[in-house]
Parts: sequence; C-alpha cells; structure tokens
Amino acid sequence: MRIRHLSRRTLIAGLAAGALAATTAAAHHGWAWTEDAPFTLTGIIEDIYIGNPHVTLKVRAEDGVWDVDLAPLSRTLRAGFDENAAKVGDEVTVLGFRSRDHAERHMKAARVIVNGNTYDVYPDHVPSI
Amino acid sequence: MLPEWLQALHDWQVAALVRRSFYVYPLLNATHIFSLTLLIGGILPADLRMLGLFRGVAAAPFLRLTTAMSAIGLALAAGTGFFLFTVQPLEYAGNPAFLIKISLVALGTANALVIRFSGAWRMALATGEATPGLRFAALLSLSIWISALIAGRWIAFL
Repeated sequence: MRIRHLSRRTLIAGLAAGALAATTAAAHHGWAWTEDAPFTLTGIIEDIYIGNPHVTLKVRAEDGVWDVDLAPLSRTLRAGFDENAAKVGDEVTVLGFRSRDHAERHMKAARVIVNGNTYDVYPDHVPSI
Repeated sequence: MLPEWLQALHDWQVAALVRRSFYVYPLLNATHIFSLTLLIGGILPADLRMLGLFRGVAAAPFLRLTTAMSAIGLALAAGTGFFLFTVQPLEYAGNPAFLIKISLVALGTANALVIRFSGAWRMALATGEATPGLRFAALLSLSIWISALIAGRWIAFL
C-alpha cells in the first residue's frame, strides 16, 4: 500500500516538474520567441557587450532603443565580429527576427552590417531578401 | 554606491577573463548546474522525509547525509554563481528574475539554518518523527528551493 501511494505521489511531482520545464523552454532562448518573418533594424549603436554568454548591442532607432541579441561569444567572434568591428556611435543595420511580443524592442540578429562589413553570426538564419 | 561597487566588480581582471574565456565560462556554468543537482538532490529527499515519506529509512543518517550534500551544493553554487555574476554585474543586478532568485536563496538558507538549529530537528534525528512546525518548515524549504531554481533559469529569458 505504501509503495503504491508513494509512486503516485512521485508521478504527480514528476508531471508538475515537466510542466514547469515546458513553460520555461517556451521563453527567450533559441528562435521560438521570434517572429517567422524577417526584420531589419537600422540605427546608431549605443552600447556593445562582447562577452559570455552572448554578444548584445543596444541600438537607437527612430522608435527607441532596441536590445539586439547576437550569437554566443565564440560563434560571434568566429563570424569576425569583435572589438574592432564597431564602436558606440556607429550606424548599424541588423537583419534578423524581432520578438513576437511587439511591446518589447528586442530582436535576434542573423546578420550585422556595420562600417561596410557584413558579419553573419547565424549564417543559416540570414533571411534571403 | 551600489552601481560603483558593481562597476568595480565588472572592471576586475578576473571578471574580464571569465567574460572572454572559451573554457572558463562554460565550465563555471556546468559546475553551477552540478552544484544545483547536489543542492536540490539533497534537500528534496530531506524535506520529503520530514514531511513523512520514506518512513522506512532511518531518519538520522538519512537527514545527515542529504543535508550535508545540499550544504556542499549551496556553497559550490554560491561560489560559481559569484563568478558568473561578475561577467555582467550591472545587467544582472537589474534583472527581476535574478533579484527574486537571490532573495529566495537567502530565504531558503535562513530557513535551513532555523531548521538545523531547532529542537524539532534534534528530535527528528532522535525519534524519526517531525513536529508540525518542522513539517511546515520542510514544505517551505521545498517550495523555496524549487522556486529559486525556476527564477534562476528565468534570468536568461528577461
């Protein structure tokens, strides 16, 4: 009796944990949180973070300041985007995908164009325009 | 005052190394996750034992072992977490999920210390029976640590 009782409780706990894990997985990593349609952002770089866990830019556009996620550090550096690629104040064009939530100015970059150079941080995701 | 302290942490040489390293950061991250398996993997069975499950297992050696594992896990998680924090201190300090997580960790640690130094704990070790107060604290512990885990994972998604 005790064993049957315990296994039922274990099962319920397991299901609850699984449900929580599924909820978490639906949020911001990967591409699930972005729209399917490509998005282009042009603006002035306000901040550059080159480091772990991933590289990010803050870009001032007409409608406000955008958070732009590039790839993880190693992948971004492999694409050629490092400290010498851009500086605060440079104009940048980012091709990628914006958040499905239009209340936030947040996008994930596939291609970054700055100072005449093109950096494909996610070559497989660069939209064909 | 606080931003200055965070900026100093950001400018620290070790932080710069972790920020740019291909190996240190992923290994720190892996060790942080490993320490969480010790922490949650220890505290969960301990809390369940206090709540009345696994009655067939002798309380004293079981609770000593599981809580020791979770204490080691907590110390290791705090240590690795500190270095992971130094990478972007200003960002993390402004991240609601991070602030909730840190508060929950402080609450969970305080709760664990209250349990550990209570008369009810000594009684549970001696007799294998938990008082209603100890059961409540165990339920609280379970909720706090699982919530802290979820809040911690949420940091990356805000």
